[in-house]
Amino acid sequence: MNLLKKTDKPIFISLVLILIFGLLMVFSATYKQDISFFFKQIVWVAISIFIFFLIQFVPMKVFYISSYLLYFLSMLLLVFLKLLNASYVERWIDIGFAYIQPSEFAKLTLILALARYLSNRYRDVNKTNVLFISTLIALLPFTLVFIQPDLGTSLIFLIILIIILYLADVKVTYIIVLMTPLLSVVFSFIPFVWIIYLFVLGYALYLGRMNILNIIKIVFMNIFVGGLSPVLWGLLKEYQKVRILSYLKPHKDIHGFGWNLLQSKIAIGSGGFWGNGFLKGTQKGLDFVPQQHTDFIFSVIGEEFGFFGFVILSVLIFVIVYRTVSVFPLIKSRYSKLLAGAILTVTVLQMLLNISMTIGILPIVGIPLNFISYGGSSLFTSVVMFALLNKIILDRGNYW
Amino acid sequence: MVGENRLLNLSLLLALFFSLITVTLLNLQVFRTDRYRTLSEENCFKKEIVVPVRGSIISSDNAVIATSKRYFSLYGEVSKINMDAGAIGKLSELIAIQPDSINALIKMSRIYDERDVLLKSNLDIATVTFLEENGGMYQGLSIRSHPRRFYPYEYVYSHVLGYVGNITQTEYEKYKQLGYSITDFIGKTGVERSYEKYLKGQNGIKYFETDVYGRVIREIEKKNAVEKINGNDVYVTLNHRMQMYIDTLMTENESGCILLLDAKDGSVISMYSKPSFDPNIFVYGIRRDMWDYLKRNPLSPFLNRCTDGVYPPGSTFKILTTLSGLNEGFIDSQTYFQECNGSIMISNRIFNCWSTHYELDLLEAFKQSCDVYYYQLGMKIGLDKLARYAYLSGFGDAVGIDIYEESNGLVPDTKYLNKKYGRNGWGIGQTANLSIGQGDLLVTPIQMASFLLAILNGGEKIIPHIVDSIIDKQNEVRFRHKKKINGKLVFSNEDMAFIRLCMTEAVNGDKGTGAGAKSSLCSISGKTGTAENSAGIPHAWFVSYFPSDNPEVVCVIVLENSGHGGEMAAPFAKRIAEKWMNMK
Repeated sequence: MNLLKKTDKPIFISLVLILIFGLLMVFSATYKQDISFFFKQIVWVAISIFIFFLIQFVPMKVFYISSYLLYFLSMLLLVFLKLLNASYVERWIDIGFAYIQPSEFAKLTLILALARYLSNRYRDVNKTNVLFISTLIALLPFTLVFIQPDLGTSLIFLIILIIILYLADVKVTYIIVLMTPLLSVVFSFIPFVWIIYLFVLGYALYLGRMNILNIIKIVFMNIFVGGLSPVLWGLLKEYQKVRILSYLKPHKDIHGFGWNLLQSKIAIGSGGFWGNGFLKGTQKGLDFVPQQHTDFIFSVIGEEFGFFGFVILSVLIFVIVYRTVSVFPLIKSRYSKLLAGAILTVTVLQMLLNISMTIGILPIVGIPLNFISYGGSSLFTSVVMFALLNKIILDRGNYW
Repeated sequence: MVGENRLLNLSLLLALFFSLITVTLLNLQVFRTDRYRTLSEENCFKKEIVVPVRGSIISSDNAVIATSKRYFSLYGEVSKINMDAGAIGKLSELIAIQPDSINALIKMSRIYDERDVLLKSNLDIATVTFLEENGGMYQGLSIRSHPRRFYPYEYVYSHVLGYVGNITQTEYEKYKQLGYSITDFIGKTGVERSYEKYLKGQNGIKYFETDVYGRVIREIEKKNAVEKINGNDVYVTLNHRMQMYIDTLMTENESGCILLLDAKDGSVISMYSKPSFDPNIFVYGIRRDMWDYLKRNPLSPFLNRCTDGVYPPGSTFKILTTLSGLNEGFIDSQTYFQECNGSIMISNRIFNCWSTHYELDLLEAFKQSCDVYYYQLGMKIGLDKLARYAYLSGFGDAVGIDIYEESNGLVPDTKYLNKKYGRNGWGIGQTANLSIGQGDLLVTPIQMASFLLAILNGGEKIIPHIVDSIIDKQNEVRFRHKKKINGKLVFSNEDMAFIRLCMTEAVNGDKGTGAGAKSSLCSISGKTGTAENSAGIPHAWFVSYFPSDNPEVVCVIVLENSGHGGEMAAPFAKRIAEKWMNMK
């Protein structure tokens, strides 16, 4: 029972319950086709739980020190993956006994690196250089993953950046200004509107009494990003373009990408309030809803456990959020604080993003449901993040 | 630094996002769950319609004149097809399809991941037998059969029985409550249409579990599955031997119709209309060019001339004119009018007779069909009164036979003529024309036959019918015809007896126009008609009944553009009557 003392009960119990729930769902989604999915997932859960406890014995300072190194290593993996390029799917690296997905690890290492970078410069967070370098730190994995291409995960990197800057007390206006290049991405496809937008942006910043050099920097950044985006759009795989465009008319192409969404909605909608019961879903088996064990696992929850299943999942997540938010003010270390805040927000946000994609609130861009979707890398990364969260909450009084 | 408020703010944003998801999920899973449940069922169950066997149609002399035949199709189960080049070559010869096409069919089905491939539909029996005996050579092939309508006598009954064809969208909307499916066949005309609900039976519904591609995995029990019920057999009053005989009679004629009614109860013995079409062509979906050809044909092969064809009745209408005159008391059998000199002047217009008859009494005038006599009689009766008698005798309105294709015909009266020609646009000549069955007057052969039928039955206007009874597969009678009477003729029995005498005389008497129908085997009564029309050569009419003293059959013959009724149509009546006597 020594081990359990290393855990924060509310967080650990919730986590374990979510993991069990996830295993059941993976079983239900795949057992008819191939039971090995389930066994592999069990192995990953076991490994992750082992790492969870291992992490509790590693001093926080070790993570702080190795933040950049881990970031650097994961970037190397991503580059390596790009160079490898031989495998038919570019998201995974075959390491013999399993496939790993470096972009999942990069989510964690980006949080680590940004937390370290910003916690060191907490007085200067509103300085242009700090913002600029933070952005570059996030843009590196963003670009590497975007060209894989994996739109969903690459967007997560931008979300991590925004969340962590916000938590680090960067002025909201600065964050908004930082986001202006995103608007350029959209506008750059209509050159005339884009040029007007650039002038309006510059003038607005001038009225906001920003210094000229910074205005030039920001406008230049917009031009750079905007100029690049049609090129990057061209690099997008056809299926990704179709996915983005299919969001506009999901019912039109019933067997295209809108098909996924429609089938997912049918599965979830047919579940009703109480669901059809465990293993009683009829729409599954990787057939009606493709990728049902990964990105669309929520459709199994929806069909078999209904709205009630969503409520259960929400309660478990809420316990973790409530626990973290209430303990948050007591955390002494800035690094840990940024880490905890970012881990919590990013994890919950990703879950919400995934669910909203399966019910048609957002376009389907391929984001797994943390802890629940089939896939070792995602599960591993999510559990490790919560291991860190658990550790931070336990060690809240310590500086390191 | 690191404001606690900021994490709270972020949490609030997440809570907002969470609420949005909750509302959407509530909508999906609670408020609209029924809709999605239906969609979900449709996803994994396949409903299959089991088509019942359509009831047969059987003639009064027990000939099956419309039935359902098994049509055979050759299917291959894609995953099991295993034929070498030799076998494919043999098969291609057998079913008359190029080996390349067979290979292409199989290949396409593999690409689209289909379970079965239809190699050939409508196999002939010899091929079916051969394939079944040599099944070993052709692994994975199977023959499936399905019932389809079959009309053994092709064009002979196509008007009276009608035909079945693919259900149209509008028909489907109307019939879907009765369990029809969009792939069903439905009666389009004739008996097939008017007795559709008896003939069709009830579609069965089977449920199959399917995979995501809609491929059937297995049949499943489901409470809303329905057993099919085969259609009922319809027994019609038509006499097959007579209909076939009439078909041979009509060989030389391009267009026309012959209608035979039972003189006692109005049941239709024969209903023959020419030109015709083969109703079997609709069974596998008619080819577009064939349809266009049939539709555009100026002789209208789809028209059921017996009930839907409208003609000027010509002199056959003199039956009505005579009865009207007698009824009004303007004439009796002794009445003489101004003698016939081949023509007569009525209000500055000359009206011709077809011959010169000199002085005639009523019987002779009828017998010899003297137009001059009837012009004068018509003028006495007057247009509206004559039109009124026509209406009362069933002209100008459908007789109500049990098929839908029926015309009203047209009886012109003052109101109609004023509308058509203007108040002063027509003259007294219209009255003269009407009295000899010309002008704007149009009647259908069945109206004429029904009129005659009423005369033979003491004035009772019996509605003719085609279907006698309907019997289901358990031998229970589902429908039996009951005699329907649509009022009575206004004429007295003496007058009707007199007109029967006139008709008998017209065939058997000296100088009778119907002499062509005179037979030694059977005494026939009739009236000829030679209907002038815009097409040039007149239509030959002959309306008759036989035997004269105890009528069994009413026979109406119209031969389009053939000439004189006495010359052309009357001999047909004779041959039909003789056939009838022989058949008994």
